[in-house]
Amino acid sequence: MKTILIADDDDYIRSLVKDILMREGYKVLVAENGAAALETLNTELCDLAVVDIMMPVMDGYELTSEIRKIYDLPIILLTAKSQIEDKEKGFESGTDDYLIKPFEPKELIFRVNALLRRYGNASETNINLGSLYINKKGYEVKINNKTFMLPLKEFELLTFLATHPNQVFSRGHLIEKIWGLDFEGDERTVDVHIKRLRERFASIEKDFSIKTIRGVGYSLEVL
Amino acid sequence: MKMKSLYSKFAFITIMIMIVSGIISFLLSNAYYQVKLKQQNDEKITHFAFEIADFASEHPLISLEDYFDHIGAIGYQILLINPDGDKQYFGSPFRKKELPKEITEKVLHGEVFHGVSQFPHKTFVTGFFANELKNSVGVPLEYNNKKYAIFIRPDIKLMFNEMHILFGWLLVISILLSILFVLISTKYLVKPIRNLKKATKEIAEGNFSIKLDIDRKDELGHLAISFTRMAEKLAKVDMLRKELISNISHDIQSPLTNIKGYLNLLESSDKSEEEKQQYIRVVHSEVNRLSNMAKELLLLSSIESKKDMMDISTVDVAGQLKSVIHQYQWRILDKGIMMSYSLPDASVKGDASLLYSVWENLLTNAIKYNCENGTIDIELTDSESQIEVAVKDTGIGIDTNEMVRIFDRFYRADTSRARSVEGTGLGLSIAQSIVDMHHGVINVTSQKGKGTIFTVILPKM
Repeated sequence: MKTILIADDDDYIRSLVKDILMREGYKVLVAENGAAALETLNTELCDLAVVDIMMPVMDGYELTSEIRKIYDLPIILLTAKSQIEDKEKGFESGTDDYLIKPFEPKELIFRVNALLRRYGNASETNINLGSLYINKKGYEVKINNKTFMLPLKEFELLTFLATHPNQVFSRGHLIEKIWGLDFEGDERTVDVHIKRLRERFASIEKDFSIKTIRGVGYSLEVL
Repeated sequence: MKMKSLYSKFAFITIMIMIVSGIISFLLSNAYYQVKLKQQNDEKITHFAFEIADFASEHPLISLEDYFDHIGAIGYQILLINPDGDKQYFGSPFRKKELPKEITEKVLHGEVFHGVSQFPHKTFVTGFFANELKNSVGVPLEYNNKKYAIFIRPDIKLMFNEMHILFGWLLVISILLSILFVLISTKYLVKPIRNLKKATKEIAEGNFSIKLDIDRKDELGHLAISFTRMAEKLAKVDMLRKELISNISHDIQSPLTNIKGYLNLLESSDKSEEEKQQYIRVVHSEVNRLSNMAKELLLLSSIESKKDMMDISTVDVAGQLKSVIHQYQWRILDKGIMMSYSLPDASVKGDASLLYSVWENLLTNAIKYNCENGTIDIELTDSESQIEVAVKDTGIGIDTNEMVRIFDRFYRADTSRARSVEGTGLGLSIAQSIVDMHHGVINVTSQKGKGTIFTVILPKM
């Protein structure tokens, strides 16, 4: 179970964020200000920190740069204003992402999950396959100066196939690798995702294609 | 006297100008007479006087009385003084007959008296017409070895009487006619202004369908044309305002009705937990809609007031688009949409926060009206004079007949689906206002069921 630290002086926001993240199955620790957050980090192992900018004793920017000095964990800044200067100051102090208040629970979960995935992927190398470039950490695909943001499973499917070009994988194998062993849907899911990937890149000039190998499965071929 | 109407003011001023210029020209010509003409006149009369005197001295046989009677009759006023100092007048009489004794003495002793050129000049009296003995020329006359003196001046009244009358009439008629014409032309000039005044009154009372029958090519004509245009615009604004108010009340009323209805349902206890959750969600989304609408109306009114005081700076459009994409990334991926973009560095002069809300609006529309697993493509093109941002989606598309209305306030595409898609119908209207303020254009091309492309072109100014 991943542990997430929340640093916010607002009691209401703290319990709201805690509630949302606990429902997602995370272990949650809370701190009322920057100093308290650093103390908690001293004793507990955390995987991610959600930090509010406006806090007494030590504000969010300061806390972020303090965390950056000692620990290697992703940080999400909570900001009340949508001003661009705010964001830039946040990135300067070393945050990985930011979230503008008021936010929807879904958005918080999305950003937390995405950041944890990115940190999990951090050690993996990016893929360069002809004109196709896959940035695993950033979850981005680039083809000829154009950037693509794909839905998660499609991205993972494309990445897996591109990691092993010209190699044929069965549907079962792909389900296991991408959706996991406990996936309950049938193998048709793979077909649907492959179809979508093909459609998405149909009108784009590229030097790869996803081939169907009859009776076996799929393979990404470089042209 | 207090003059209220432009007409009387204008007429009064014009007549005053005529009078003042008349006085000034009289004074100037008078001065010219005093400085230049008087001398010439004097010389001329002196010449006549000598002619007359010489003739008399050369013809001692003629009776002096008969001779001067005769000359007086053809248009001269004459005073004859004999050596004893006796005075005899010929021709029409002088109005004033004073003449200092020493002058007569001097003339009797052979000197010439230049009364015309020495005549004292007064500001408003032209010496030329003064029927006075002092205003004459005196010359000595030797007749039968006796020394006489004659004082002579032309009988202006006799000689120029008809001319006098002619000039008098000329003056009177021209003054009367010009006053008459001033009055008429003033009326003609002022009439359109009166019409405009009446029209403003009508507009103030809410009648915008005014017709001005002013067909002129001068400034007043231009004024009338722009006035009519203004009235048309006001009429349009008034119509939009009424429509807006009815739209707002409708758009506020319907979520409120829903909220009320679902709250009533929640109050009744015979509902299952699942149903209750469903009702709460509906109330939630309706409250969100109201809150968004309030926010957008605020933005809209702030745009109207901001028109003249935009916060202009160099805006990094690529950076803004990246920011917007980041902000809505989760919603895009949540809907299974693929986002593609190419954003080369490009900047434009403008109001950063206003432009940000344009991109935000276009992207959220592309998300909202997209289909599941659709795509959104944002393309930024930078050229010498302008930047172009194209936002392309694979959404529900817009009908050709809907196309003209999408920038109207509160208009929403696909009314049957509108309920399921959150929005206020203000977004595109706001976006268009902002783009207008930056002297840009916003275009839309769409195919029903296939998708829509919004293109914003901003000049680099």
